[in-house]
Amino acid sequence: MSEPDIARLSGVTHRYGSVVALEEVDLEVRRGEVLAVLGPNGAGKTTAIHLLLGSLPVQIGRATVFGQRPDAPGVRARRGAMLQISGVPDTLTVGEHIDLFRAYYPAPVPASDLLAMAGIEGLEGRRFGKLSGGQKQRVMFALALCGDPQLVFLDEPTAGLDVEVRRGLWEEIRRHRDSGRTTVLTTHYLEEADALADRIVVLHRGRVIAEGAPSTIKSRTAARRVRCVTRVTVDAVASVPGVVRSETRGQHLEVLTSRPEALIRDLFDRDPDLHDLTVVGAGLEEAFLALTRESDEPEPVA
Amino acid sequence: MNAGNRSGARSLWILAVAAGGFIGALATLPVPESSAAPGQEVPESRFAVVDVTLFDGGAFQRNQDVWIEDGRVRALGPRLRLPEDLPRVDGRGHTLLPGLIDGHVHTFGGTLNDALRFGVTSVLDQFTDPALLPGAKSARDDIARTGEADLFSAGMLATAPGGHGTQFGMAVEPLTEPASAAAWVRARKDEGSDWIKIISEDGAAYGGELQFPALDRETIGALIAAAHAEEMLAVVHVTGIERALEAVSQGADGLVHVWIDEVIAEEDARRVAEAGVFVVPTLSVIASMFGDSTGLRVLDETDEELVSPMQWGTLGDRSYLRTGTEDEAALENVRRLHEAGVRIVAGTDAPNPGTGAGISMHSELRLLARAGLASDAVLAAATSGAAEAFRIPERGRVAEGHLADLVLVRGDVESDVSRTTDIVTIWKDGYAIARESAATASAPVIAAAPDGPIVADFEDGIDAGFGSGWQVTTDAMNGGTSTAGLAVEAGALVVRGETKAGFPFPWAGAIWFTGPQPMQAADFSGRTTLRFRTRGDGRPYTVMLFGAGAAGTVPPTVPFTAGPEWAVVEIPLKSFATADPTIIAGLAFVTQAPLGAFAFELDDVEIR
Amino acid sequence: MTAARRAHRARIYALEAWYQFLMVLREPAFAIPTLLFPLIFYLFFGVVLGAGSFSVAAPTYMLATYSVFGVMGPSLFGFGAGLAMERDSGVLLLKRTTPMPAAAYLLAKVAMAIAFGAAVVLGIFLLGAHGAGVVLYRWQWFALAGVVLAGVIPFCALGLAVGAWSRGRAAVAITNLVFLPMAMLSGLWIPITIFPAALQDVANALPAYHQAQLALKIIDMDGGQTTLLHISVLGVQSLALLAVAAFGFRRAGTGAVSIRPGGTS
Repeated sequence: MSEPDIARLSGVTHRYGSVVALEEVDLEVRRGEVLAVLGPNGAGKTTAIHLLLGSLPVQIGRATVFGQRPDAPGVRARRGAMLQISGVPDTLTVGEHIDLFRAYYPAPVPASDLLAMAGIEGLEGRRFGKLSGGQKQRVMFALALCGDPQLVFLDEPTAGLDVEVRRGLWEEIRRHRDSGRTTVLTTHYLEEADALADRIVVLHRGRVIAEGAPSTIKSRTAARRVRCVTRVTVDAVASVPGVVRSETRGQHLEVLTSRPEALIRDLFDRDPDLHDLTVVGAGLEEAFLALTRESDEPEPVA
Repeated sequence: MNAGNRSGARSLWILAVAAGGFIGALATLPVPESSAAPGQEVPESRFAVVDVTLFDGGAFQRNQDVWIEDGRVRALGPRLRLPEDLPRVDGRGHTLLPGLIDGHVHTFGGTLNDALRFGVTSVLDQFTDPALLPGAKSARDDIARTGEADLFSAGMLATAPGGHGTQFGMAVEPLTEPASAAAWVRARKDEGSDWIKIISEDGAAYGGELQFPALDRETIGALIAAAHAEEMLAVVHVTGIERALEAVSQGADGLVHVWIDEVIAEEDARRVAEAGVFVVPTLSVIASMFGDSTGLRVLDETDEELVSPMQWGTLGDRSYLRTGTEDEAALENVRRLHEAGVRIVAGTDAPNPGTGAGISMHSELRLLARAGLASDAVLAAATSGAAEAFRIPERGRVAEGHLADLVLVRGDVESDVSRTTDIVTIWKDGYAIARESAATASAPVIAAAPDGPIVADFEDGIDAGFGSGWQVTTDAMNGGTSTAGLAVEAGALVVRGETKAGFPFPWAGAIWFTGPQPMQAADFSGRTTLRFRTRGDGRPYTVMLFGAGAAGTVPPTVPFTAGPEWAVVEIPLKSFATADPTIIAGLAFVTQAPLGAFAFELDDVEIR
Repeated sequence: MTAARRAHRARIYALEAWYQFLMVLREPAFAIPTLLFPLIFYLFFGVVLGAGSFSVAAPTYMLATYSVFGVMGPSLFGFGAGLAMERDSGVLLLKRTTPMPAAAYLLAKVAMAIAFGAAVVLGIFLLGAHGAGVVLYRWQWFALAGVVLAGVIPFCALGLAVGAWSRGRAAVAITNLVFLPMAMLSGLWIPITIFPAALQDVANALPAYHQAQLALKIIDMDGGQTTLLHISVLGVQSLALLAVAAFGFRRAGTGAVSIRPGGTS
């Protein structure tokens, strides 16, 4: 069969009232890949996922999954999803939830395999409400895999989990990736996208602002936050190449830049007495600011 | 195959077991015992009906308890404090009525038993054999177990010679002048009549040429005055509006039919109301005359075992049937009279053709409802209204001290009067009535035939020496115009007359009532043959055999010819197409077609 | 093949209903009020207070009305509060992405309401029969159970309308605001004939009143209106409530409304 792309959004614009969630978005999910849709809160990631799940109607543009409408019955049976929801009912056990979800699909994965795939062996008798946050997410992951899906949507699978738990879940997702299925993952952790994805699409304010292999994206969003006590003013550093944003916080000057070495050299030139200098990796927010700035005023990347 | 399948199957199993358990548990819930053994273990004489919807003769009241002691109502009300040991009848979902009172019947044969088995605990008879009256009086004053309704009666009726009422084969003492009214009324009082019934009928209301001799206005007035002088009620049979209004102006207390010829004007209806005259419309008999099937519908709804042969016979009899007219005038008259405030009393005129004793009371209630009476008015007409109109004591209401004549009906009668047929229990004087024995109930009315010869030889006049005599029978009783006369000449019965157009199936001739009362059957088992000598004008004649169903369905017939010479005719009884031709109430020797004058003689008529 | 597919669908319906039932059965906040309250109320008002007098009218009347009350609870709460909470938690949204037929979800709730209702009805019947001496004809026992359980139709429709238009905890509060006053004003606790006439008129607008009158008709204790009237009112109200619910869902979606810009991470 000729399915060059497993799922696709073409020219999709989506509004909630006057708020634009997605604007002119083209998104392509290729067979066998793990695609990470990366973006900060409110970027439109979840909207994009729900358009592909058929749980939101397409307003402008086109959404297809397996070449069909996203909510076609044949599509539902070949697709699994892990959504940003607070969970399934607390009073049923893990085994009961899996039993029920398996029943929805024509050729479900054996329950024991699901437990193994999600790393929740031995928990099948426990009520969902008694599980830890990480265990709950693993159960939700298992539920997404019940139907032996060819395409899996993971909407912020590790949101709200602490680092260790998050890394544990990555292991399961990575194992799943290795089985050759197609996965669409949304996240606002660059690290997560980097760890799991073959390809990253960066969404910001409803637009696709970058797309490419994780290494490419990472390098383009490698902003650093430079912080020190100095006489140099905010305005003075604004013109330094690579500077995205600068501000004063208390007695500290805080500058966001994609070229920290150049900035520091410049600062020492102007004020040899500067002290209390720290350079830290910026958060994704800042990274996006960097990307946005790039997309607003094209500028060569170092 | 896998866990999903197993849990799916398991949930279906659990569902099936739960549903089964639910239904099984419902089936174990307690049910009233009275529904298990109807009629058998019903408490009697001393008991209470509890938590019942009561129609006390005036209005419906819910959740009432009624305490019966020694054949009378001892107490009633909601939530009575009742003795612990008092047997109780669960009245929930039921309606308790006073025993019904039929305001217009004719008593003979098994009619009192038939009436009681259908909840009619008292009947107001408008013409019967006065010989029945003394027995009726003592029976109704006695609170003992009985199988018969209480009988109140006018006894003999007042009519003109050859007038309406003379054609039924019962002895009638006709009147010709006002002067004889007082003596006539006193004679009735002495016989035991409870009121005076006067015929004011010339047949005009039925249309056509039919004319009866009728009492004149003065005689009717004198009869009414005489009745009032004896402190008796005077009720008048009318079928036409003119005579109805005249009777009202002459002081009649009640009219025992509603008229069918014309709808009453509203001011006339008000006049009737102001005069305090009650009306017994007898819609049942009128309806059957006009082909209305209400009576037959009630018959259809009734368990066959409850219907006696006589009820089957009279109710199923369509010989009265007229077509081309409607009973709407009668219904409209009832509606207007009721609206004007005239007291309506339910009465059937059973067991005339198209009606059955007792059973037709239930069609009468439906017809009254159709005429526009509300449920409480309909039932009052059949209970308290009838008792008050005819001054019948201790009956017609469920009240302290009244007789425990009660009818327990399943369901809510207030919302649907037709439910009165669904009778659960009837109590008469506190005793439960066995309703099922309809077949045996009619058995006592069949008299045993004597062992000796049964023969009418006319050597000593018209009296046959057996049975209750020979009478003229013609279609006049069904509205026809044929005539006949009887005479004994030279030791033989001579029958002369003329069959005329008028009734669809004209007939005329003579009938031999073979039972102790007219139309009461006698048992001739062991006899096989009807044998008689006859001669006549050569016309075709017919013998009709009337069985226990008396005025029943079309009777079986066997033809014979009366030629110029005396000849012996022998008819095997089994050639009469009926179930038991040895149960004979009457043998009619009649001619039918062709129309015209006829004459024939009979002698030595013998059942052997 | 089609037989296999039909068996597959049947299994979805059966399991959905079974787990819906298990889920609420294990939820004390649901199971205790819906199962025990009607039984305790009936035991107290119908059996203990009602059976003191000679007349068995009160326990019999209340047998019917508390049974209606008992069916109303799980129907209203299963649909009203339950649906709103499942919509909030996102379970409904998740299930809508699977091949589960939407009807299986709704029918599971109806089946749960019937199961809980049947348990309450049976309990009340047993209490009435063995505690208060209530005796009915066999057909009346069965017809009463049938008519009372048929009440899931209007009550689920009402619950669905509440669930479609309210969210989470508000739905619980609104359901309670519908549930208790309607039970009272419909004569489910005490006959409305003791209320002022104006309140009695209000009853005519309430589905629970007409449902109770239908039940009382079986034991001949109804107020005398026609069966046709009650069935017509219930039918029209059910259809109207379903329309209100459908409109609510169209407006809000099955839960996708929680996806908005700036939504939780």
